[in-house]
Amino acid sequence: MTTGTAPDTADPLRPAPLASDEAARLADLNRLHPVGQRPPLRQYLVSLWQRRYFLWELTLAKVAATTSDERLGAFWQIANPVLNVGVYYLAFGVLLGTRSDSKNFLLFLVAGVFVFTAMNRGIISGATSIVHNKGLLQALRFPRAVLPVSAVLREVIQFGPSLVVLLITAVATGEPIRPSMLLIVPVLIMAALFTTGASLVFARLVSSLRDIGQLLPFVTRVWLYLSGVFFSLDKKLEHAHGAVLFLAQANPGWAYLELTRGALMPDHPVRTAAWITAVVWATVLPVVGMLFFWRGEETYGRG
Amino acid sequence: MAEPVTLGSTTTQNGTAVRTAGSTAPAGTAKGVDVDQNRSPAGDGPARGPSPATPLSVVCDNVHLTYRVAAAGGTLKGSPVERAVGKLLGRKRRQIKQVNALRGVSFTAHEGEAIGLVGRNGSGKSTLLRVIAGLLSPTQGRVWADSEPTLLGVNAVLVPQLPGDRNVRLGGLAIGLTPQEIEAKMQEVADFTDIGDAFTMPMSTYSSGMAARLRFAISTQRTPRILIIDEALSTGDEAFRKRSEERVKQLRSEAGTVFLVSHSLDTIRSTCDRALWLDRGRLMADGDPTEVCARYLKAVAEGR
Repeated sequence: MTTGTAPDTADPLRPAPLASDEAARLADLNRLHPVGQRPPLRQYLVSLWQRRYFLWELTLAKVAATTSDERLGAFWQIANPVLNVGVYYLAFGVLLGTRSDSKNFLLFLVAGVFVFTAMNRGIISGATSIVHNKGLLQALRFPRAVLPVSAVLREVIQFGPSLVVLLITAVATGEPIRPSMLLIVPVLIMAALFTTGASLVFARLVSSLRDIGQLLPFVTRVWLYLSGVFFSLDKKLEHAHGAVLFLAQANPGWAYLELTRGALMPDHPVRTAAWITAVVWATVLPVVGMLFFWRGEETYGRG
Repeated sequence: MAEPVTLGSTTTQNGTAVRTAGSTAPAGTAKGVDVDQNRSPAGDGPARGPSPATPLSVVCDNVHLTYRVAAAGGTLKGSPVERAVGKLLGRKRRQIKQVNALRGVSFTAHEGEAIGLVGRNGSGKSTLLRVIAGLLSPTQGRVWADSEPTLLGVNAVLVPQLPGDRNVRLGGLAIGLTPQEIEAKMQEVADFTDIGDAFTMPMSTYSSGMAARLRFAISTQRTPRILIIDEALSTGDEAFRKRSEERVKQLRSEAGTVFLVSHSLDTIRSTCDRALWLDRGRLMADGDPTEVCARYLKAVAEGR
């Protein structure tokens, strides 16, 4: 309770403390609603849906801002992964000889680098969306899940040019244009759903323990090596069994990359496990992520 | 919208609406009315609304807000050897500091009241406003309000690289308008902002005055019942100050409630009919703005 400096109880300026249950009764009497409390899940999801136009406009604004900040902004969106492809082609394909892992190693590599980069960037920008938007959180009221979801949506939009380059690479390297190429659409949607779920989980973790943000690049680096971006993980798994095989195949990164390659290359073998892994992560993680994120709703933006 | 609930049918000269409702007797009976000068031992603040019987719009009950910040420590502790070793290892003393931004703030606000917050930098004014606006959740205590309090702080979402009209859309959606409402009001906002062709130019090309006008036009598209103005969030533009003063008056005439943090005590004295003085997260005084400001200035002068 307030301890005024003035000992005089008749002081007209002395703040009036409220008795223990008085506030609640006053609130009830005047039909006031509690402020700043986490809404029930259902209500939270409804308000998130109601804010969909805001989410979309915010995402477009951020995309426009990043592309206009640098004069060649849109160009770097493409150039960056393309240069990465070049580096990996030289380091792994040529020097370490993983070129023989696939008949069409260039497409194998482009598909791997582009899809992995997009997922990775989505997770990192989603994870830091709460701590990087403190000003927004302290000024406006909206369901906080808007921020990580918007960060992922932004990566999805910015993946557009990459997708064009990927398809051009497929055609240019002699892959036949077939209807089954359309499988890339559900595969990428699943990858986006998985990324959204992961962003929601990491956004809460990073906001409650900022140091995790420092750790995240290392986690994603390990994930990069385990996902078979520039070499065929399947070849390495030929003699694996038991827990090792299970864990390797449970990796969503591996699954989405393999399915993307399978959709573009008719002779690229895809394990059934990849489909199972892809579907499970894309359905379970967004739900778990949303629940986990929602439970921390009232803590975001504090401090 | 809250329906008017009369707190105590007996209108006293300076009756205490708060106590009335809080007493054991049901509201509306004369029995529950505490007459002024006859305070309960808990110590009442007299009601300072336009009328003592106006309904409450905000109840703030024993609000605490603590947050932890990681602060890089200055000097290393320990013996000279330990310090040298620490330096060699590049070890910085890092400590988690607890900041008690608010420590038990309680008050009630009535419809039609304009409440100014005074206090030094870091006394918790902006934090309290954000708690009332529902942007920060108290670590202890609760806040109730009759509708969603709105902080006049739309600039946080605006993007300088985007043209004015895109920002109107973005800002409008951010404060909860529907796309249809925004389209309907677009011309009105353009007229109010009165910047001609610049409306379709990127906001980064605007002068600070033009930007302030646009921000104000965007944030006042919606008429909240409880408006919260933190001057620190806006530019101290003279035109903005005038407009926000007009807005405060208009809202109060519509029986809305206004909270205002201003660095100008004159603004508090001229636009508010009640002031709260916060010091280190505690409520020190609550009442007539002139008297509260005088007490605050006295404390500052005494270096307390």
